[in-house]
Amino acid sequence: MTEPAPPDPMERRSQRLTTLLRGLSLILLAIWLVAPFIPLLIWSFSFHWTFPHLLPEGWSLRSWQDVANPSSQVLPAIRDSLLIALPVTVLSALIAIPAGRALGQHRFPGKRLVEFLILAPNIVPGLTVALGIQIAFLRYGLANTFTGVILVHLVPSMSYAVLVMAGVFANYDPQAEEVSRSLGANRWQTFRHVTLPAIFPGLMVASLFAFLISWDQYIATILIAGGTVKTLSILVVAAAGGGDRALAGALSLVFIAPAVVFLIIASKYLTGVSAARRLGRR
Amino acid sequence: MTAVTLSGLTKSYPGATRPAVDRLDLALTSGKIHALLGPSGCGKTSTLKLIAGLLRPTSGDIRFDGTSVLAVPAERRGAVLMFQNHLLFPYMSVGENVGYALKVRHESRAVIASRVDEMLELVKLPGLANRRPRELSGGQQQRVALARALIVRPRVLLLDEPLSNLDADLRDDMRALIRAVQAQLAVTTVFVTHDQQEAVVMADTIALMSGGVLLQTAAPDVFYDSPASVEVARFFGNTNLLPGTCADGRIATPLGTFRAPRSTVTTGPAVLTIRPESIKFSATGQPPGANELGGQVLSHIYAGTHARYRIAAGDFHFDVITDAEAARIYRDGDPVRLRFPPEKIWLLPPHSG
Amino acid sequence: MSERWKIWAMLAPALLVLIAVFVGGLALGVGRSLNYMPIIGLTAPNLDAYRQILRMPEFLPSLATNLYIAVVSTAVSMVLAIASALLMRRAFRGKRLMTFLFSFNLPIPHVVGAIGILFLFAQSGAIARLAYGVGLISRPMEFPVLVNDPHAIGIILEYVWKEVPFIGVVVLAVLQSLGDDYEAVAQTLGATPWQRFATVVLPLIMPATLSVSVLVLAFTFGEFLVPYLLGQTYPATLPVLAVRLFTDPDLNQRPPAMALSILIALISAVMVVLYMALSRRVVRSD
Repeated sequence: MTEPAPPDPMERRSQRLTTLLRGLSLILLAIWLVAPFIPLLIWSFSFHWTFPHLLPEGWSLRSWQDVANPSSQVLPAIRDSLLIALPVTVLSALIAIPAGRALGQHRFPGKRLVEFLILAPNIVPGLTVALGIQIAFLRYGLANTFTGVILVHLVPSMSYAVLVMAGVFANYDPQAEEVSRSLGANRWQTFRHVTLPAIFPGLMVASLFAFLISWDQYIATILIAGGTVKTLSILVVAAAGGGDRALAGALSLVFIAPAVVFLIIASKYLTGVSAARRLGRR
Repeated sequence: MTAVTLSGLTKSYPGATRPAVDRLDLALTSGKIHALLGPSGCGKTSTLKLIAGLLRPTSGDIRFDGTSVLAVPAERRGAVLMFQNHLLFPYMSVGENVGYALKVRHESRAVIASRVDEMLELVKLPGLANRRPRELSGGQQQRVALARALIVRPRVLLLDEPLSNLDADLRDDMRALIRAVQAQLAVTTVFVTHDQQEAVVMADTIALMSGGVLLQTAAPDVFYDSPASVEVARFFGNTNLLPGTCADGRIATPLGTFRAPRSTVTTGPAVLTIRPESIKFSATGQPPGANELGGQVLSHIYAGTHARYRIAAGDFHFDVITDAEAARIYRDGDPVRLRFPPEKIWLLPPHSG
Repeated sequence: MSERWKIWAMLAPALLVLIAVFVGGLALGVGRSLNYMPIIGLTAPNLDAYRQILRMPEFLPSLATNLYIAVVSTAVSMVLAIASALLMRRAFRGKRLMTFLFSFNLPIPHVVGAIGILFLFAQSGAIARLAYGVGLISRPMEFPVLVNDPHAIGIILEYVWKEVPFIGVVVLAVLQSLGDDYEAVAQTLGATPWQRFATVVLPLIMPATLSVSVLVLAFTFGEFLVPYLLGQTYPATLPVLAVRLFTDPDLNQRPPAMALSILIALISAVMVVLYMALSRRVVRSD
């Protein structure tokens, strides 16, 4: 609410200039934020688009037909991605509810160490862990299996979900559970009708996180199971390095679809900046 | 020493249905403490920010010693604002906080250091310059904030609910300190509060505001003895209102005629007001005399040092505050006699709303 | 069941995954990098792999590139994030849209950002076409090399695009929780707009800003994919180099690949720990 004092003509002119500069900067910022998406979108519908032309010389749905064609690699890749990301999501949620509760509601000796361990996968590059675990997975027959990939994805997905749920439980008042128990509800009824509704928005966000983190994984997947498991992420990276820009554009847009769904759902459960802040993830 | 004059001061926010401050005329005499009193949303904080220069008025003028300060930006206006939260800068020491205003004026280190010590002495916190704000108690933090505000000898000191975040006992200390420091520096002080008790204790004059409009401005006792309107009387706890018609220093009401020499109206419709602590009551015996009427106790509350009675008389209810002893004598349902001492009655024009 | 056991039971599944996969993977990696792997008969750990990477001619240029990318990306992102947050904190027309755009790319994968940057900044990309359109260039070759380039411009652009909102939302949240009153106090005490920014706003937002920025620093240092797609071949960044060694048909390259990846993790960890130690000493804000 701080407004400058009523300005004299000189100051009024400089104030108008400030407003103008601010508006221009905001417009530039907005353009910069959306700019990378625009060529992706245009390329995905292009047929023929050579250098100096600002728009394609020929339009086509070819790359989208490729994406939808059952005999192409895309649908199997989406299936593989889902076969990994969905179990990772469910497991992450199941692990994160009790762990988040322990961290958010209790103080106990060794808590700092546990917190450190859960934060560590956000600092140690996934590459380092994947390279190390690959040796053991080869030995135990987990390399080139879905189980192996799920286990590796579980590390970053689950640790993020635990962090979110710890935050949720830190602001959760367990007294309602005591009331429920005193009114005669058993443990499961209490969880189902008291705890779950209270933590549901947070759990939703944690699960969506977990899903997206798994969905985006590339280097861990390719190091553990590059020979057999072909996720959409692997396809997108291959297309990025390949020559078919139309396909790369279409694949990129398919690849970000869950993130867009995530934004829409998350905006329902969280509002404004706090939502955006939680969305910020690795 | 600066006299502050507000004339026709108006502030409208875009999208609001009515102005936050509406054509406010107020003369704040130099070197005194002035309270802006009113319920939240009455425009008092906006007024404070207008004086500080943090808000720009929609129309009207603000003059310091007769000179308009509208063109002077807040940082050069010399009206220092202190909020209800101490808002000390957490990353600075106490000394750096107090010396902040001198530092932004590029004073030398030596000057700042000696002035900081002087100010900490003034607010009774000597030797705490190297502490961090979070190491102090709430009351100490508020005193540091006061020292920080006063170090440049501002022309006007503006306080926004300075005591509302403090515990009751700390509040009394802080009140005394603000009064003492203010008297010593003789800085014109304007403070905002929603607490009429606080305004009465602290201020030399009170400006009562409601809905962006000034209701009355006067010395504190005036609000009790001769409020300007029914609304003012109500705000100051006078709930005893009896409509009637007045003429020749008397008022005829549905409960009888009362002698009432003090009045704002000489003749015609008027409202009789009398403060709860001014009504006397006693057991019924003889028939009611002059300025007396019969009633019945509806309910009462014993409050330790006094007792509060609600008494029905005809279709009207009266609040009466008596000494605590009365609670032993009069029970709910007892018939009682009320006496309205003529010099305590105050006649007001009937309220418009 | 005692309270303490109950807590550990609740944590057990999470700890199991972390210890078995994360700690286990790290430990195996460390072992392999030290040529220690009892299962295949290697029982005498040594530092040969580390010596080997230090002797690689590409190592120092790669390390330098890596540090350069991480530091420049983080610093630029931080400055722009603060500027954007300051621009967006007050009400303006279109604030809702702007806030949406600001949070939109947060969940977008880096690959997609990298492809977008590629399509925008390649010599035949959208910007080059615009430059041709206004007559600045007449052939793609005349457009400056901005992706897969020696100065890692493409990589830095992608990181800045992704991380400005990441840091920015945190700064914005802090600014909004602080409100205007600190600045109002400073202003009535005589601080000019610049003094209010330098002595009030900046110190108040710095602790939170730095603690997200150090995450960005660690991330940009250890990330593989973006430099893989947008970086030049020589010198590659350390993660790209590690993957290249690991996937080499010559299996003798695996220990140095491990050693390199451990080194990357160590440097990332040191950055974070150093920051935490420094911030505890310097900022000590509650």
